[in-house]
Amino acid sequence: MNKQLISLLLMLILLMVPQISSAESQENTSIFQIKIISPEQITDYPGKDVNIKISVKNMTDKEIKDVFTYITMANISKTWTVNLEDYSADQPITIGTISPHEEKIVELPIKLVYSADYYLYTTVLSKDSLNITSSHAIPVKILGNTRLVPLQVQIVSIAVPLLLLIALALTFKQRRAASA
Amino acid sequence: MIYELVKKETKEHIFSRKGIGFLFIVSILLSIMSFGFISVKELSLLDQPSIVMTTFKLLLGINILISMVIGSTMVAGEKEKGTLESLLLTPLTKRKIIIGKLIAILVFWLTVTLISLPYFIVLSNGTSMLPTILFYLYVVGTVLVISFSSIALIFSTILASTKNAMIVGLMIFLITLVPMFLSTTMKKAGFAKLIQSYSPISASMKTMKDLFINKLGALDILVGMVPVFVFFVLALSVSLLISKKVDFLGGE
Amino acid sequence: MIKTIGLRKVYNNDYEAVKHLDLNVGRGDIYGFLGPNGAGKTTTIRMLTGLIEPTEGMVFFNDREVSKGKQELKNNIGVLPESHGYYEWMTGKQYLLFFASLYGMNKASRIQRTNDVLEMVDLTEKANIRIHQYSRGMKQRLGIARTLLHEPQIIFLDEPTLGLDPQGQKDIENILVQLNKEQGVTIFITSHLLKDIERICNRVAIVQRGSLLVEDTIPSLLTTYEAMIEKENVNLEDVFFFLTDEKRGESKHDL
Repeated sequence: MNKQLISLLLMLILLMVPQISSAESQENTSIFQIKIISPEQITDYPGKDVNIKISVKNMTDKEIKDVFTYITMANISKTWTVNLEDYSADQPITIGTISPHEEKIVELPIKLVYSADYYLYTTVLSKDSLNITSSHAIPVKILGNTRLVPLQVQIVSIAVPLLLLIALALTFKQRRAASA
Repeated sequence: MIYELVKKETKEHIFSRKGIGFLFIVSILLSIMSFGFISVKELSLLDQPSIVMTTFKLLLGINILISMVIGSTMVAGEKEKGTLESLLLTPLTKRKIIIGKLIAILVFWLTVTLISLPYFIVLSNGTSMLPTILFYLYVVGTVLVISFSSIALIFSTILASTKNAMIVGLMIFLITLVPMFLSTTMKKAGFAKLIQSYSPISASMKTMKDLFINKLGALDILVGMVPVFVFFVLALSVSLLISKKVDFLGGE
Repeated sequence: MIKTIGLRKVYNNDYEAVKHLDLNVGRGDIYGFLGPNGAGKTTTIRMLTGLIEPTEGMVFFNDREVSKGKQELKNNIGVLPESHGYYEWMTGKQYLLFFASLYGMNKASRIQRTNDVLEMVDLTEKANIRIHQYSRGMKQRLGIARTLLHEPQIIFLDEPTLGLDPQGQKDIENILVQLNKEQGVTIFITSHLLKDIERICNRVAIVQRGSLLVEDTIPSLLTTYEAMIEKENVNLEDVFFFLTDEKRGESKHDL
């Protein structure tokens, strides 16, 4: 019984190893290294243009062709994805060919638009490989700029329709008087 | 003469129960939206440029709709009521009749802008957006309203019934709104891209964003507004040309 | 005052509504334009008043071709179409003031003239009531008042007594006779009420299927057809039916 148990355990361990090693090998075979150099975080108002400076390094001994990189953002406040067209950041930057172990510095522009909290990260890939590499994320806080005075809004929202309602009532009254 | 016709049209369509009713509806919608900006959690997170832009979209959408409804009834309605023949027998030319009715719709729009101003003032409080708001309201908004009203008048002139004129006019409006319902991917290529490029509504929405968010310069704004101006010139020209077709119903 | 030469109208569906009409309306006439339904009366009036273009022929107003002087024509004619509507939300006075303004009158003239025409048609007391409350007769009188605002030389009335009770008809006719006698307004009127036409008109034309059957003064017409009709005390109605009798299959205008 003990022998059977040990054999079973050994078999399980043996089965795990290829997966672990394949997982490791996947990590180890990432052909790029990409990191956001600057900024480390963004806290600013809508309308501002920011350049995300990144470093993309070819980690292999071979030349990698057709390399391009782009920004991705996730809206943390609403737990939504982000339409980058609104932020003028939907166009990838083509790097082209990176020589073995070469590092390229690229700037990706983005405009701050809608107020919320985001995580921003960058991704690099080559058309020649299914290997996709993303950087760590940086926090982006687009500040709400509200100076609304709720009382003012309330007054206008009530007063304007009320005045028009009075005008409407007067036209009804006028009509009735003319008909009488 | 046109002035007197404009006076009559504004009394009939604007400063009447129907007209004031429309204005009341517009104010209610603006009030509901404004209340939402200060009380609904998600809306209260919006920054003021977004608030102003959202308000503009509501205001323009509703007003183009109402202006088209009014425009559809202006000629076809007179045909149906039999009052057009009497008007044609006066020294007023057909073109002046159309111009008078267009000016009346413009007066309606200007009245709406006056009603919307208090809302825009409080919603843009503490920002320097008011001049931009006024520019968008009185330039872009006016051009759009006149364009769509011209289209409504065109169909009101051609068609004998107000109902048909209204349906056709509103269909045209909905077609120009199509780009707003298309996905970003669809708009990047093909027919959808074509509509997006030429739609006056798309161009006006882009202009709004360029003014309030991107804060682009005057030249960029004007270039972006080219489809809007082209649409305006076309719609107005056709409505004036089609004025020759203004005719009464009936024969022997 | 009004003269037509070879007036013809063919509509888009090839329907020939008016065929080579030669009319002559003199200054000061009360001219009756008679015919069965579909005879081309309304089409003729619309061509005479410049509302539609004739297919062929010419219309002269005061010896000037109408197509060359539409503006002058509109300032000198008043028209009450057969089927026409009113801005029912207006009062009678507001309605007249509006139309007076379209003729380019200044404010003082508008008000004065509006009061004058309201008095002519006996609507002064009802001037400030909304038109939707007017009776049919009152609306017709208001319509006539509108045609008179700019003091036209001639007024065209297409079936002005249609749908009115006998008193209403009489009121309209009395107004027209008075206008003609006191102010010298030429009146061009179509109607099916032949007895009334005979009473008020001095000259008539009878048309059928777009063609002119006869045009003459009433006394002359009665004299001409008395012998042919073989009846005592021939009246306009007798002449009309004699000329337009469909059962005989042809019109009797060829003597």
